[in-house]
Amino acid sequence: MKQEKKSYVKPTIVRHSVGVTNKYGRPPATVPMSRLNGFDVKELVNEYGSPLYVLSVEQLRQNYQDMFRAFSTRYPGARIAYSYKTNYLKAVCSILHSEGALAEVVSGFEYDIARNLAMPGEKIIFNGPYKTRDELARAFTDGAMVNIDNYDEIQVCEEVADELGRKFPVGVRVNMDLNNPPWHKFGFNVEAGHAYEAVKRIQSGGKLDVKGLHIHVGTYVDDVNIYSMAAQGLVNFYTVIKEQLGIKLKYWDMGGGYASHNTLNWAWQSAEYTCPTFDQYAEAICPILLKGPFQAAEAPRLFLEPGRALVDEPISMITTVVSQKRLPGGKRGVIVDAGMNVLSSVQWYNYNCQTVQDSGLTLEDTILYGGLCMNIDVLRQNAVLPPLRRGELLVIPHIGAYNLSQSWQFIYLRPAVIAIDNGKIHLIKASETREYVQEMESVPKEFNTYSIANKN
Amino acid sequence: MSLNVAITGLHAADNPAPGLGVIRCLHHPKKWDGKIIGLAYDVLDTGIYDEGLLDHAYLIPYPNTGSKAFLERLQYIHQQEQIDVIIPTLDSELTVFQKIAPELKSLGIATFIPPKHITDRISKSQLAEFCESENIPYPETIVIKDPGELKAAVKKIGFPLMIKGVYYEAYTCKSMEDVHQYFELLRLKWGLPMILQKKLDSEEFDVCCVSDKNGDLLGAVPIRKTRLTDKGKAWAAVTLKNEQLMELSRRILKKLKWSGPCEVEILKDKKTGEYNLIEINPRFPAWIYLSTGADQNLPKMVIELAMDKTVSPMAPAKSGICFVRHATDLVCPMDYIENLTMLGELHYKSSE
Amino acid sequence: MSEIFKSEVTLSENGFLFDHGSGLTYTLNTTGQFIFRQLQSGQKSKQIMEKMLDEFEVIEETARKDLDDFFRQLNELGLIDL
Repeated sequence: MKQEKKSYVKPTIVRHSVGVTNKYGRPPATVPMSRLNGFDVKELVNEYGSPLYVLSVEQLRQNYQDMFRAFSTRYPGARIAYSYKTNYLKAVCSILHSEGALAEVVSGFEYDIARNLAMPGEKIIFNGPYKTRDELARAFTDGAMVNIDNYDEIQVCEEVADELGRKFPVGVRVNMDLNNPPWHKFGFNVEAGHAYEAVKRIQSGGKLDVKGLHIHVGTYVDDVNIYSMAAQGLVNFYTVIKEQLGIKLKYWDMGGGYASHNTLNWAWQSAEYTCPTFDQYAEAICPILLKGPFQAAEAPRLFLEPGRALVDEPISMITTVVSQKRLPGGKRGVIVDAGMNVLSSVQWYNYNCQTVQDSGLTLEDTILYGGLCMNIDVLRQNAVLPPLRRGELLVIPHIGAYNLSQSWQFIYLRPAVIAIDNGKIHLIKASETREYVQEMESVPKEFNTYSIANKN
Repeated sequence: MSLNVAITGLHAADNPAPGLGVIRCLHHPKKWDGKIIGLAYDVLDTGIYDEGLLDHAYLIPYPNTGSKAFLERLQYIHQQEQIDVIIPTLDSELTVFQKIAPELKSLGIATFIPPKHITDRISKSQLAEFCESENIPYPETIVIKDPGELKAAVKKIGFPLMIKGVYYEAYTCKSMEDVHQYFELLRLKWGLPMILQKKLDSEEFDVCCVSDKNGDLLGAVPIRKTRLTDKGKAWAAVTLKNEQLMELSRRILKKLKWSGPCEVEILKDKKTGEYNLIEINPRFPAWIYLSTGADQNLPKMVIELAMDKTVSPMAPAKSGICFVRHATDLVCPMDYIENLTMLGELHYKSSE
Repeated sequence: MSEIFKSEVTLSENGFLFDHGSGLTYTLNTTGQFIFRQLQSGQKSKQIMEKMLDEFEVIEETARKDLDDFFRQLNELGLIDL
């Protein structure tokens, strides 16, 4: 009787070197992740193509609820305004709005998205260094919260107020010397006295009324002390402008910058140990703000503007191996079909790469290349991966922030985005088509000489 | 009572890890009663091959692999060897052990390390603040958070000064050129903040300490390093009798409510005679075996503390005891390497 | 094509390979070990292919591609002469 055949894996041989001989020291990438949010990864790709963005609606809602609970239980009435720029897919914004999030926008384009999603003006916070006159007029008319960034903007806001014949409440964006590099680009510096001057200037103009203070301490800030210092700075500043200029705030806004569970390229410790929880952020901020110069009933409303901390985790990318090659130094290179154009945060993060198939236990240091025809398109300089064949899949989790809103179209069409909710799949953005990409283009008749030249 | 003890930090190369010293302390004055389990990060971690020191060696994942993988591996080893106590000995492991300490406890594995909120206070960027608030003498220090602050800070401190990365590395600067050079180097490597510290004309002392959960000092061995490698590691040292060193260490640990082992680095200013705190390493030093000569077996004390025993303070360390470090070559068959590479474990026959 | 080892090699039961000539060590997975043992017993690539198809659940096209790839790697590592 013929024996049953053994199951097959691609043959491998891996040379040992100091530091890579510990198979217990490698990330558990070999544990195959054949299912994502309850669905077979291969089937998702068969249906929607590769690469593919996959959103877990449940995880997104959970993140929002966790953050809301952490802040609202420590500061009564605290509200979360979702930072559109991190991912302004309509479906993502809608889910967060349905949970109760306001919209935090930094351009007229984003403002328009929010209004189109039926967000009323008073639920929109309009930030950023560049807002046009028309956009400001619209925001004031709609009753949106406008945080002023610079002196030129004060001027334009006053002109708009004149035109509309009303006095409008505004917020003032301030910055402080808290971290490195300092975020001096935005708003008015407190230490240098610019913020005080700006508030004084606005009040003396008589056309606008300072009702809010806004600060945003940075991006991926995993040191909660910086938030504590910023909160203390706001309290001190409010005390001064209240006493000297009679300002009574309606709101203060601690901005965003909260970290996610991705490890930065240069970090020596995994984000698992360094990324604070929402409770830790809230604990660093709320008790300090509550000691501000007011009775409980007059406490300014607190706004938070998270983006990354809400949307990074719920979105994964599925990508397909297109080739495996040996580099001259002996190291293995693997090329996948997703490039840095649809995963631009590879500049900052050491993303995890998880195998989907059971590819055996032999791991090897691998340089993971994106599929673009550009030498700089490297997704990971050093990923430890099992042998991979053309057609095998990898899942890169936690990529929801910035990778979609900052993606650029280059030589390939950008992929589809699906949302998985309660065991149901929704296509929330179809993959691009050539017609869509070229829709806005035209070729003047005079340029179209190719066919003429061919005739001659 | 025989206890099975697992120890990390087995690589004794040019910058020796403390694990082997700890194990030798446990074997002093006679072979340890229970099993000694070595936890290594690489097949070629040297201590694995010092036959007679270990009963078993296991490879473990790097802490950055994630606490889940780390804990799972320890659970597996625990199933094989029934670990009673783990003594971690590397700075880079502290965070993961702090994180998984409750899980280890529920498995019946004891550790005796200070909690995170205490070790955070002695991080390089926080230490000056701690000294300031607790009135502990330390050399003038400025934490630089912005390159723009550098010039003013250098002017305030004056030359010579030390420039230190937030996690590792320090250089002496004698001129502004030095400052710029090392500032750039450290900024690229470790980023900001960076620490500028006055370089005192001074003598350096180290005190290896163990204190209990109230921060009360139970044992301490003060030393002077008598020979350094070019990396500044002790290659020879002598134990001291010095009440000022003891008093300062006692005060520091009490203020911190430090629980566990540590190495306190102290400088004595030659001009003023004042003792200054430089750094606290949250672990045993590599020269810990010297403590047995000073009649202060501190690793054994940590095991007692981990097992929740009441420990009374030891008599002062015996002074005038010396150590010289001596590199030696260990010989082993290829089988050992093969076992660790393929199976991740090695079991010495003598222990069966 | 003839595959000749450049120096003495020892492949242990669990896939640990020691090259006595260079002093380097390697890990081979199960399929890699299978092929390597065939090479050691003097089999040529055609015979090895046949044995692979007998032994494993694999189609010829995949086996051929993987075998080529594996030989190329052994050659690059300096273990065999292609």
